[in-house]
Amino acid sequence: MSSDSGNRFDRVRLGGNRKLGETKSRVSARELERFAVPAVLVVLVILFSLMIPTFRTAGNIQSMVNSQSVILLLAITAVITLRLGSFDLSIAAVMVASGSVVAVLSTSGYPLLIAIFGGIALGLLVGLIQAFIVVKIGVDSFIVTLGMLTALAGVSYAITSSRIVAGVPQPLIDFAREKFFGVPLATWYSWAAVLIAWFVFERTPLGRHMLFIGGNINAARLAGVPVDRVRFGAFVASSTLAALVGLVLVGQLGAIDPGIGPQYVLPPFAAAFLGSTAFTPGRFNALGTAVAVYLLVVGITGLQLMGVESWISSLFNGLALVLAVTLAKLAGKRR
Amino acid sequence: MVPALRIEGLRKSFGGVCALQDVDIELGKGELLGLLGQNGSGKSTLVKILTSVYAPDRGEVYVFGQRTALPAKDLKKTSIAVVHQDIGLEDTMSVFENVETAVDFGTLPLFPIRRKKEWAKLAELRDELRIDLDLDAKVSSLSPAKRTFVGVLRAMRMLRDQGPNTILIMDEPTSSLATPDALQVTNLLRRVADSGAGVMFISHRLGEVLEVCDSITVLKDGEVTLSQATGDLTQSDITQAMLGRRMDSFYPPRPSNLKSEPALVLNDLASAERLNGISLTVYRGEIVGFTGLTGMGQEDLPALLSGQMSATRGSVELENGVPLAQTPVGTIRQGVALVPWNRARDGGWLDATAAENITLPILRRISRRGVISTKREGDHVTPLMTALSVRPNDPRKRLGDFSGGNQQKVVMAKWLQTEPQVLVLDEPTQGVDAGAKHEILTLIRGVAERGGAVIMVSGDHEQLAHTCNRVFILCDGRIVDEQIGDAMTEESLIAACNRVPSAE
Repeated sequence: MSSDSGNRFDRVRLGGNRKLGETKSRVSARELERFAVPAVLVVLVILFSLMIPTFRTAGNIQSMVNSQSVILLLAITAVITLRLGSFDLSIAAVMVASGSVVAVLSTSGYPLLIAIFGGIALGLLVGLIQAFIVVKIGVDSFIVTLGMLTALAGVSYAITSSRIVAGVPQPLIDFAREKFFGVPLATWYSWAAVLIAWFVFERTPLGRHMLFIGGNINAARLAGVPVDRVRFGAFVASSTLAALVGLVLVGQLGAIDPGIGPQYVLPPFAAAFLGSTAFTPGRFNALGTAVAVYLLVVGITGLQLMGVESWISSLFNGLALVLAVTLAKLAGKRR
Repeated sequence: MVPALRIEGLRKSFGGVCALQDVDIELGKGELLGLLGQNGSGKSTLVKILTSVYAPDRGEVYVFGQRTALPAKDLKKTSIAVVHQDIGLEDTMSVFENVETAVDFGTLPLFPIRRKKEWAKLAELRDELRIDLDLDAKVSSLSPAKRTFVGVLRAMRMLRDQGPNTILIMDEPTSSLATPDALQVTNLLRRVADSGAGVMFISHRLGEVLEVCDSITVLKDGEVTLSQATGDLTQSDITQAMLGRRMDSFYPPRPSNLKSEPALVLNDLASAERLNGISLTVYRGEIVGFTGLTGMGQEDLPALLSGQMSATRGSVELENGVPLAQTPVGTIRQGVALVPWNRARDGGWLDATAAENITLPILRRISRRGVISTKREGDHVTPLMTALSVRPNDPRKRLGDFSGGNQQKVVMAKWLQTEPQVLVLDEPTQGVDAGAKHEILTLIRGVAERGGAVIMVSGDHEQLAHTCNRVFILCDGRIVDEQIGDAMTEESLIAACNRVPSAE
């Protein structure tokens, strides 16, 4: 649901209606805000394509998109709890821990199916623990999941004995790398996740409930929204989905590196926050998040192709997060 | 003699609405002045101008003969200190520490405070004002009256370093106190005034103001309607000045379609906070009001009846003896709807559209196979907003962009569409302009006329007297009076609220 057609009217409370000309310019300012992130993406793609010959090759485009499937899956996962006004910072660590369980079990003689169940069960368990502490006891989700993030990194090292575990079964690799219309399955999964999340968030009563819990939890509770149940379910779903992303990660890499987690912690949140300024400003949303993921990778890749070294990706992701929350704050103030 | 405070021609308006118009007030040294007025009469605007929160549009303020430009950059230099209704104390700290945090000790921020010397200074001030207070006691251990003492002591300590001239403003310090506690506080105010300060005492309790104050000033709609020495003023002189002219026809008539089936039965209902055992029956088709001074227990009813707060004793039953559910989800399912007093916090989400707010409790009704139908949402909301004359009638507009009265209509729409059996209203017309107020009260009446039961908790006695079939008056968590239909008036309700319950 977009809220924008209504914003034509600026605070009638004190001033009464504005003049027509003023009203019009405000509408276009709103539209500009809604489409700023997608517009920047388009501009960057055009700019880099003109400036850097290697950027516009099919190979580069493909590798940019395919490199983001895990980030995009995690970013959509992050939006589930962000939409409720909470954080689940541990998703990257759940993903690696689940991937570690799958890799270790499947390479030490257990059937693949058992290994997969093990990975998912770990995600489910973490989700239940976090949901219990955050929802039933009422501890701040940022702190709980920050602690879990670090604890689970330890768990991953323990499971793998601090080694890279390679040689996972071929079906798991096919699960992520098999191509469909020339595009790897992992990328299809991420696009499917965007569509499903978009549908649930924007079109179902559950999505509306989540939105109101994030917006005004008191009003939601008083309107009969089962606040605790939705929040509990969201935390369980978030960790379980992160565990499933772990399967994709293991399949994509054909191995698991227990130390790979940290590089997946921040980018999903940078994308989610940047995405929240697009389409429906002020609301975490699936499409905006997807656009933001690609905006970040295009920016980073372009700069790298222009000769900037790989440190640019940390700088870019970090600054994007700060910029996104700053823009959101400024937009909120203007409202 | 130069007065402590002289206000001349003070004027302040907000977006065309005059909150204060050419107000003149004089407060002498050693004088205790009672400032009275209904909610919205301009009292708090006046306090906020004197404490530099708002800038006045026009007018002069003289403090001990000196013209003082307001708002001032440094509050302490104005010689005016205020103790708010919410005193703002840190419970885990001692009295001394609480005072300390508010005082500028003249050292640099990172230099140590000379604790011993400061402690002695404060003790001296305490003894001067004859305040019975242990400076090392933890604030959490203090009685409500003593907490107010801390507020006064802190305010007086802040002003002390600025010289002997002191103006103390007490903003409804007694409204949440029981009578004996309130008496201790008013006695202290008398002593503060006797020490040479000017004290402005804001209160809703006419009795105590008449008892203790030297002079009384009444504000109504931003104008001074009474200002004279207490002398032989009576309560009715004051209420007359507070209320002014009547406007009976402004209110819709009381519901006339009373039924004999009970809709809500309270049995010895008590809450952990303030309610201390009330029993009564509300019938279908009637509007029942609940009122009392602040903190007398009526405030807990909306939370109890909507399943947000659980009763510590007693029970609530709906029609046919069904016990009331314990959660908001459950009570809503039982047909009990709550319109909370705080729109921004509880009533709705200001950043969502009117349509999104309205349809939140009935999303199932506008969905098809689990998917929200935008068309159905529009088809449902637009006629509803038209029926409630929400202006502008734009379902896609942000709730926060509507005026207060129209926001309240949106919140009402959210619940009226569910056709509640019991509608619980907490200050339903607070911060709502006159026109919208009439419309909202008419909608409320409609619920009762259709056979619903309406509970209206309010401090707006005029509104209660005109719209309710019955009004219960609470004091210290118990029902002390019940007034019925045309026999009640605003004055009779105010009198009942202020009557000290006879010692039993």
